[in-house]
Amino acid sequence: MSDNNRFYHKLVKLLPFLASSLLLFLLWHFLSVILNRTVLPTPLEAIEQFIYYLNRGLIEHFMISAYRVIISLLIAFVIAVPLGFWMGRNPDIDKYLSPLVYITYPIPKSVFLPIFVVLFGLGDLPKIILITTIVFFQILVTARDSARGVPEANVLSMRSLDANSWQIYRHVIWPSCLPDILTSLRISLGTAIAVLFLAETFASITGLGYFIMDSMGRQAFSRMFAGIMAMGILGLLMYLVIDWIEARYCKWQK
Amino acid sequence: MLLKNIAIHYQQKNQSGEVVAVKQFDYQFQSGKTYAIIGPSGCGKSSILLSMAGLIQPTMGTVEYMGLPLLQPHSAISLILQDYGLFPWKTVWENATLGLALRGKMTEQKVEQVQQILKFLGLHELGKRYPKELSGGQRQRVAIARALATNPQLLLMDEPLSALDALTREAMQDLLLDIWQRQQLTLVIVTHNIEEAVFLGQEIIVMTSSPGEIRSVFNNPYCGDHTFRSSNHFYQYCSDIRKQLLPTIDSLGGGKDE
Repeated sequence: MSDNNRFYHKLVKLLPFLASSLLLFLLWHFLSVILNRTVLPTPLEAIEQFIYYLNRGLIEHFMISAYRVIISLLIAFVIAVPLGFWMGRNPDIDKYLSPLVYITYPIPKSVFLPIFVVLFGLGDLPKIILITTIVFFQILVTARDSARGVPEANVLSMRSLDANSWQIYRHVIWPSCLPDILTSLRISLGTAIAVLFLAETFASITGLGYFIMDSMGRQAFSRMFAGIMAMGILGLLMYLVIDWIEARYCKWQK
Repeated sequence: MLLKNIAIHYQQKNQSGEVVAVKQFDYQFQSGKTYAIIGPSGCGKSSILLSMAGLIQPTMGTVEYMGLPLLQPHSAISLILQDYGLFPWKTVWENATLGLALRGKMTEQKVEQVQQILKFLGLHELGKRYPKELSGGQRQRVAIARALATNPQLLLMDEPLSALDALTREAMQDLLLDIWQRQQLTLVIVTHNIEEAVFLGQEIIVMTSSPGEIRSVFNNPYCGDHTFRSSNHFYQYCSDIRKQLLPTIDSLGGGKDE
């Protein structure tokens, strides 16, 4: 394939994405014009402010928020996936642990934020604990249900090849459940960013949540929108990373 | 392989009762021969095969392989399941070499051997493809390649060709005979299909309906000849076996899934 062709194919692939972005920006623009209030600047003004504030603290706040949300998702993932697999593949374990999940899952964990702040201070830790606690259950339930649904024929096929338990998890349970887990990560990502915003607005002086609320307090609405855009970009980037992981490790699904 | 008066019972899910899959099965499978086990759905033929693979233990009786009780899967025994048991997330090559990889036997010599098997099965150019990119016949051949890669002495096949169209099915039956003659292994095939059992079985074991036991055994000296399918003997065997199976089907009112 020539370079021109390759460029053309990439452009065709990007077209729906560009069209959706354009539509979104147009809607935003018209809403801003109709409303005609400083609280909702036009997209161009917001982009201008976003670029302006990049070197004036926005990048630092962005990095802090990214760190908090990535670490939280990683911790939740590392604990929830093996535990979910274990529960999904062992009915006896599931029998005892599932009631615990059903009791604790519906509790709105965000109400524990003040307790976490009192216990762990004003730094990253209470925010990471809060996000991890919330996201953990979403990943756990998906991993458990997905592992439970792995066809027994697949496990039997592995056992006929003399595979041990670890090999069955590695070659069957994990790859079979990975698409579901990535979907749950996508859903969890939205939750994680929403919780991050909440956590950073409470007893915090760092992160995009703080940046946005601080701007609002100063009635610097363009600055506030720069923060909102940064938060959107954070979500989008992480979404793209999950898409990349799926394209790389779930090729067989295409 | 010796199955000494085995019976296989299953615990019913969410119920306290037991289902008797196999009432009694007593048979010796001799090395280097081909066997076909045929019977109505639910007669326990798949359960017999799983016990021969060391995957389930009989409720009564014993399964012995090479003079020793078979308590777990054995490296000299390969099993091909009804839906081929291929993993959609593994390529043809990864599926074919999985048994070797799991046993830590991916030596250069073994890799070369798998390449030869894939070539023999006409799969050597499809190594990087995923199962969903293959036809039913190709998928079946990958399953055979995986089973042969570990160099088994006993190849067990559970309804291996049931999902294939008639012509592919006959081509695969010919291929199985070629493999059996080439590798000099013992072949045990479980099937619903009378023609398949007659074409592939030197000994054809006809089962009763559930709970299963042996109704009769046919010795078939014509098995191994590729032209056997169009001979009068073939039709005679098919007719005789059909007569044996008809009462079992009638007693079921048609047949049910296993």
